[in-house]
Amino acid sequence: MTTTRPTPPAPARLALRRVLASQAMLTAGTLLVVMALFTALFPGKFATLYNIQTLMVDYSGIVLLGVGLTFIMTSARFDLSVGAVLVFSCVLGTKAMGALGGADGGWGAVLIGLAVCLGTGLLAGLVNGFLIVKARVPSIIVTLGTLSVAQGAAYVLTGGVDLYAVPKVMLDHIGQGKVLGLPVPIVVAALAVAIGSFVLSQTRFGQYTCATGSNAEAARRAGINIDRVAITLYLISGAGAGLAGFMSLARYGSTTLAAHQNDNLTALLGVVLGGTSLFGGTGTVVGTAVGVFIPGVLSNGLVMMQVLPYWQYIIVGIVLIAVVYIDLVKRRGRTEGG
Amino acid sequence: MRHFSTAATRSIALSTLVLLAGAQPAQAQTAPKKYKIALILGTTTDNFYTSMQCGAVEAARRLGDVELTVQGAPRWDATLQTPVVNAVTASGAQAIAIAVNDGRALFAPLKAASDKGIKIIGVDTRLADSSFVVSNISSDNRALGAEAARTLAKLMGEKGTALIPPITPGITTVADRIQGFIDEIKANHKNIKIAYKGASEDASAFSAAFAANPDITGMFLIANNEALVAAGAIRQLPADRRDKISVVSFDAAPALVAALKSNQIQAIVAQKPAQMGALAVETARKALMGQAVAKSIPTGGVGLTRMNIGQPAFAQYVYKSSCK
Repeated sequence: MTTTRPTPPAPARLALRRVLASQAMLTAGTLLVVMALFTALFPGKFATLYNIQTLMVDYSGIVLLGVGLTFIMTSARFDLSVGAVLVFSCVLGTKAMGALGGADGGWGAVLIGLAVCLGTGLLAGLVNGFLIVKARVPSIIVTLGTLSVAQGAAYVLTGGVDLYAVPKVMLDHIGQGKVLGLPVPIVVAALAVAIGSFVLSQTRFGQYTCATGSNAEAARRAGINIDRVAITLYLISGAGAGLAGFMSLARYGSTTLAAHQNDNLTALLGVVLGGTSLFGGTGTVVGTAVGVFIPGVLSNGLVMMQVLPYWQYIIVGIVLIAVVYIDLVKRRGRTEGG
Repeated sequence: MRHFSTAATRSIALSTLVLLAGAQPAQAQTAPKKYKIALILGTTTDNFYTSMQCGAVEAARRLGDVELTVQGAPRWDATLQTPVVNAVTASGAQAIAIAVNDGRALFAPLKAASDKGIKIIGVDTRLADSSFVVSNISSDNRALGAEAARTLAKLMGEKGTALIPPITPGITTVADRIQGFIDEIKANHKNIKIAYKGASEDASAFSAAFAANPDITGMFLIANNEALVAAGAIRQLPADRRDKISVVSFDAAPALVAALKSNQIQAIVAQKPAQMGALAVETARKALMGQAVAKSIPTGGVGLTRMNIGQPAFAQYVYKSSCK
């Protein structure tokens, strides 16, 4: 499938830029129109510092997942496991912090908790990457498998019972804390977006990521170690899930076993809405950060309209199909027209 | 402090309004002040909460001066309920009555709402730290659990093994029901053994428990969704075992009542969600009017059996699929 597409020469790259621009514009335009509408409908309620800030905090975890998934999808692969890895890392992180004083634990316990959450994510990423590269099992199957394993392991380790042994300092200073007047979860997500965006668009590794997604065989022949790139990509995605798990613990103070089931799909949705091609080759981390907020803003405004937030799913679904349709049309135009 | 100053600003604004109203008689005085109350359900897809909604809507209609909005997420998930709480808070609600999805995870958003001057009322479930909550309205779950234990012990002939669900501490109502059940069995029904089902809510968890404990003659179930799954698992047992098992469940969902009528389960301990919803609206309104409210308001339960379910006095406690 991906081999039919050559690495874009100069004029095609312009076209590519246009594709990217139009998808990102549709998404950003949708977001702006919706936000303007809600601002007009609910003066003094929607466009308030409180509302925008809590909205951003509520979706900061999805942004963390989305950054990793942008890399994965740019390389024309999938990762369905991040939501389950998030919860699994919550479980191991809470176990570790529970052993180090639980609610009374200090910053040492918090740091160990962060290390355990990140380590869990990295381990899951390593397993995913290794199986995809070495065993050559399709990524959608491998990560569906690790989704199930991580979810099951989370239940086995807890007996299905949520754990709450999260240090109070972590809840107060990370989950509810502020840096320079901004909630910490927003700062963490913004940093992740900035770093992810820099790596994907400005570094050689980012170019390799796009190249393997655009045409893996060509990338290999050009001397890129595509296996190592792929494993690194899943490490990034896993680290994103681990960090999101840590931040979830800081915000909710609970392993939230039953929760986060929609997170993986919401993040994937954000990635595609943001202009990253479903077929690999092009991706934008900033676009993902914008795309992730469409469902969030919609459900927020719908609650204010005193409607149950169900319509969100319908609107998001329509925008999603429209975005992918534009991607396809532009792509077809490029291969047919020349 | 901020809380006070906003309240002060509001009361100044309000008194200005009252003065203006005095200056222009008729119109402004006849339009009564509405209390903006939001009810956030545990999930929007459960008959229990639909009944709660019906009770709240009915109370708001009866009181006349309440602007009620009912919200919730389609699944029991603290990470889905949190954005709903935040949106309701931002939308200018004066009071929030909520069935929290997690006793701790919802603490931060509700505390933030409370700090903005919004009155918080717990309904059905409650926060682990309710210090800032105006009132908690819920079933006396330990008493209901004990009632279920007495009913089941009688049905089992005071002997055999009773299968019960594992305790999940995050959901306070459930933990209390199970604890109430266990305490009553241990204290007054010593010949009945207790076996725990796995945490999974699938039929396979019941089938596994049936295989592991051949002497199960009683089952105690806590949530109506689970009871339907259990009824399905029991149907798959051989007839001689199936007929020996008595089931007592919580919550009178229509499908569960049908199972009661066809003798697949033998008793239901129904809660009173409609009463909870009405009390939530009434309590929120009282708190907004500055009146004293009880910190904890327990609501009762009612035992439904095949014998009494035909009578209107009992049938009214069957949970509703819609408010009409």
